[in-house]
Parts: sequence; structure tokens; C-alpha cells
Amino acid sequence: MTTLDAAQAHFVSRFADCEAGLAGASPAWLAPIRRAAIERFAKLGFPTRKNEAWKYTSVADLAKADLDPEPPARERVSRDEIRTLLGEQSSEDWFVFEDGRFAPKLSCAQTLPTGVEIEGLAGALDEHADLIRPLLDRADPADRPFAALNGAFQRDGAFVRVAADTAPQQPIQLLFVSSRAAAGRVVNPRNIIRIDRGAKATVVLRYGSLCLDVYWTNAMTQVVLGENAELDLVGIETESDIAYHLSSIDIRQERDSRFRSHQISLGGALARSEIYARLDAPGVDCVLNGLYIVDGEQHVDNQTTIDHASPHGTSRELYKGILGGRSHGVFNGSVLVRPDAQKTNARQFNPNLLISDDAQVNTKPTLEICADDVKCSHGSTVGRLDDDALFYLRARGLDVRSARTILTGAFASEIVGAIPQQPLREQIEALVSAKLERSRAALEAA
Amino acid sequence: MGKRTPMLEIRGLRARAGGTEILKGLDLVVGTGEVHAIMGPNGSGKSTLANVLAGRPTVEVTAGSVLYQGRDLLPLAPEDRAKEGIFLAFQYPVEIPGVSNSYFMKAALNAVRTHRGEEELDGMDFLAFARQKMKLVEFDEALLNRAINEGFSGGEKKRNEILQMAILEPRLAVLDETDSGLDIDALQVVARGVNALRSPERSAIVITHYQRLLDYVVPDYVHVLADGRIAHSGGRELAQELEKKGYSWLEVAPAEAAAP
Repeated sequence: MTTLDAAQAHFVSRFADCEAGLAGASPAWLAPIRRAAIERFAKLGFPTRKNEAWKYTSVADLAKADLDPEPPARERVSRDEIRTLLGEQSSEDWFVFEDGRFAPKLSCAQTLPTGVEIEGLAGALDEHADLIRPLLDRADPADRPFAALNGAFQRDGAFVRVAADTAPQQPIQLLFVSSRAAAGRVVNPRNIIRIDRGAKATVVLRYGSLCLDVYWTNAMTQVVLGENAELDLVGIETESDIAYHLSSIDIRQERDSRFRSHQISLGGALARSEIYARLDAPGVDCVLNGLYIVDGEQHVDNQTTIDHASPHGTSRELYKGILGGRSHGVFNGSVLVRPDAQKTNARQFNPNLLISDDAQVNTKPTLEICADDVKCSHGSTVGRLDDDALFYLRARGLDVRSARTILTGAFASEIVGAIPQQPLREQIEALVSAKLERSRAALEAA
Repeated sequence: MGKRTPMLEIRGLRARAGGTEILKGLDLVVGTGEVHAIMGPNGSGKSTLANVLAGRPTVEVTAGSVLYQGRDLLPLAPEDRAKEGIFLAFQYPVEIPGVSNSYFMKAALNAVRTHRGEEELDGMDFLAFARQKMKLVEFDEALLNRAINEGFSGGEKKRNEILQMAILEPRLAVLDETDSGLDIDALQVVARGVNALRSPERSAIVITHYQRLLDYVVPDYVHVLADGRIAHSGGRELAQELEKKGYSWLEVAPAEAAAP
């Protein structure tokens, strides 16, 4: 039996052990959904490199890590620890999820804006069954093994609903923190975000860690935008450098809705983000922005699918990578234009900046077009800082180090600059420059 | 006065770029307070000379010496040359998306000021200072907040170079075909920028393809560069002669013509 097979068998058998406990307080309809999910996982298994979607990303180490999918006992993270994790300027107005479970006592947000509902998914199952049940029951369009695993083991996560025609001014900020007790465990947060007709919101999903040992965040988020709704979804992945982070996000867009995602990946030994956006109705606008900055031995992987299934849809995708140390980046972005999706306008671009000699990138932007009246473009680049730009800055008196810092920051700024809301953007700017500073210091020390 | 250390003293300079020898034993002395014009046909080495002075890494100096204010210039990094007062106005200014012009100029000015032992300027003081200079070169303040040269017209890029020069107040300004592609109004702006810096303490090397600029920036000396060497030197009247006759009469016998 290979390591991958052994790990798969381990998770399937752990499901049998945990099934009764998982059922616990959940409504009866959830049990068959979980069972179907573990069956799907049993069928798909841990992917090998022969699987096209996993060609450049190995899960062998993850399989070997022998992690337990049963969530840890509650550890009671303190508010001070949350504040330290977030940094002084951004400690207010966060909804905190500890090892995947909603922790109302840690959540500093005092009052909810009108029209916004936020609670733990577990607590919302009964009241919002009509909304949640079909989403949990939906077959994964992309056949992702770890999304299936999440479906089997998920217990809680965030449930966010923004009521029709409301527009909360502040971003809705969700923090997923792995506690010390997450060591050796898999945490499976399941999030559902529903923006009702004509509403407009910004939702932040931030992943951070207090855990000193290996753990695995295996998150699944489902987003539904009603007609003419608008959402900026900001993902900030700041897991520890020995953690595994796999995240799937599914987006379903109704007529004339506008979705923009901003995925910032900074942490994790292995961090993989999978986004599947289905443009199911006419006149939909979808923007996928991403920025990954890795160094050391980090491996970061972004897999995105934009599925144009209706006419007059627009999508723009820009993922930028900055890679130092011996890190490895993977980008696999596919844009699919189905036969009915006439007048589609799709752009996709993945530029990468290598700041060390040993970093590497595998990038594969793909377009599959089955309609004839469309405008589509795609491309990717892998390069270094522009020598002419470097010389220009130096010729004005800036030393090499400052010039490099400025140009690298400028490369990232296109993604960071598109993030709405000034305080949020500043928070991310600070995280990005701290990460770039670390990458550069490592380079200079080498 | 003759004993005064020249601003720049180039002896036997040879330099390669892209595997080809471009400068083939160039001699040039620029006195302090002087403005020298360098003219010459395409490919004669004008831009290579400018790049050697600014320290562009892709140009390799293989022989000769360059003394700047009596000190060996060649070992200095480009940023150190800038801090010591050398300024190159680029023939093709680079577009740098994501870096605002004002941030860049303030960082550059403060790097230079720190080197001179002056206090750094904060945002307010910088803006006040920059506004005076923008007025001088008729620079649209809106461009100050845009990314460096991004989407600028050719004329705006050249004005941006002159604005940077006005802000950094160099001791030796080297203008690499700054007048190329400019209309007469923009040309006068460039000239005003250069003339404003003229003083007994500062020098300038104005590289140009056209005699026109020299009607507004009147040089003390004019040199003709041909095949990597100074082929001919003279006063300002040489520029007018070149305008009438072209370069061919000089290229016939560059060796004899070079003799002073």
C-alpha cells in the first residue's frame, strides 16, 4: 500500500469512528450528505502527480503527516492572543473561528450592521436549512478530493448572509485561527456566504495560526450572489510555515451580479487555493485577483476555473507571484466558455517575479472556447526585476536594496491596490511588506 | 583660473556595449562652470558616453580613465555617482508602474540630501519645494501623483527628466538627446531647466542631434563625436556649421580633424 493509499484508508476509517459524534446535534438530513462526501473522497483518494490538477503539487508529505480529522478539544484562545495575531491596528471588528468553530466570545464585533447575519454554520443549519441544505448537498463540479473530505468532516464554519438591497459600510471580517490544540489535526471549516439580491458587501476570510506544530486547514467556502448583488471577497492566508492549507471556494453568480476575489497567499509549507466560479446567468462580472509571496521551502498552488455558461459575461483574472528562496509556485488557471456564452469577454494573466536563483514556477493558463462571438486573452510570464528600471532608480541616488524593494512592492501593488476599503488595504500592505522584507533578508543572509 | 580642477576629465576612454567596442579612445575635459555640447551622427557613441558617466552596468569600460572633480569616477556605483552630483537625463526614460512619481522624487532627493549632510524633507516641505520646480518646467502637478512615466507622452517624459534634474540640483548634468522629439515650446522648457542650473559651480554636457537646442542653451564648447572619438571641437559656431554641412566633411579624416 502506498503512503497515499494508507492516508486515504486512514481518513475513511476515521470517518466510521467519528460518524456518530459528527451526527450529534446536527439535523438528520446532514448525515447522508456526509456519507456521500466520504464515499466521494474514498473514490477520488489522495491525488497522485498523474492527476493533471496535481501535476506540480505533491501531497506525499501531507499524507505522511498522519493527521487526525477529528477536531481538537476546545482550547480557549484568549483575546490578547487574537490581538497579537492580528496586530494592533486591526484588532477590532473580527468574527473569530477557533479551529473551525465559531467563537462568539472572541469576536470583538459589537454590533452587526443592518441587514447582516453572521453566525456559526452549525448554529444556522436549522433556521436556514432551505438555503444551506442544497449547498451542502451539491455535487462538487470539480471533483476535488479534499473538498469532499471537508464535506464529510465539517462541523462548523461561518454563515454570512447580507439581506437584499443593503450595503454594510464596514468589511465583514472573519478570522480562522488554528490554536495550539490543532497540532496533528485537520481543521475543516465550512463557510457559506450569501449576498442577496441587490446587496453589496466586502467579506474577509483570514487564516492565521497560534499553533506551533504541524496542522492542516482544509477549508471549503461556498458563495452565492443573488441578482445584481456585489461582493468583494478578500482572502488572507497567513498560516504558519509548517502548516498545510488547502482551500476551495465555489462561486455561483446570478444575473448581473459582480464578484471580485482578492486572494493573498503568504504562509504555509503547502498552500493551495482552488476557486471555481460558475457564471450561470447573463450579464455577470467576475474578477479573480491573486498575489502569492513565498520563500524558503514554501510551495504555493493556485487553481482557478472560470466557467462562462451564459452570455454577456465578463471575467478578468490577474494572479501575481513573487518567489524567493527555494520556493515553488504553481498556477493553473482555466477559462471555459460554453457554447451558449456568446459575447463573453475574458482576460487572464499570470506574471511571476523570481527574486532568487532557486525559486521556480509552473504556470499554465488555459482557454477553452466553445462559442464563436467572444473576446478572450490569456498569458503568463516568469521573470526578474527589470534591469532598466533598477538602473533608472539607482541613477537618481537610490541604493540597490531600496530600488529592489520599491520595484518588488510596485509589482505587488497592482493586486493590493485593488482591495477595497482603506484600513483593510493598509493592513494587507503591512503584511505584504513584512513578508517581502523577510524574503529579502533571507536572500541577503544566504 | 587655469589651475582649477576640471569638473570632468576623460582620457583614452574605451568602452563596450553588447559585445561591440563603441568608445575607442575618447578624450574630453569639461571645466567647472562650462556647458559642452556633444553632437554626432547616430551610432557614434553619444549615448554610450552618457551611460558610462552614469554607471550603467551593461556598458563595460575596457581602458582609459574618468576623473570627476579630480576623483576616479569609474569604481563608483550609479547611486553613489548620483549622490555625488552626477545626473543623467535619459534618452528613453523608463516607465515604472506602481511607483508614484512624487514618492520616487522625494526618496531620490532625500538620498541625495542625506549624502550632502542636509536634513531630509518631509512630505509637506518636499511638495512646496517640488512646486517651485514644477513651475519652472511647466510640469502638470497631476503627473506628480501618477506612476513614474506610465502613460506619459514623449514630451511629458522629457519634462519629467528636467523636473528631476531641477529638484536634485546636480553638479554635472548630462542630457542625452533630451531635445529629440520635442516641439519648440517643450524645447524652451528644457532649455530653461538647464539654464536655471547654470552657475560657476556647475557644468553640463548636452548631447544633441539638432543644433536647434543650442540656440537656447548656448554652449561654451561644441564637440563632434565620430566613431567613438572626439573628431572635432570648437566654439558654438561649430554647431551652426554642422547644421549647414552635415557630418560628412568631418568623417573624411577624423584623425587630423581631432588635432586641436
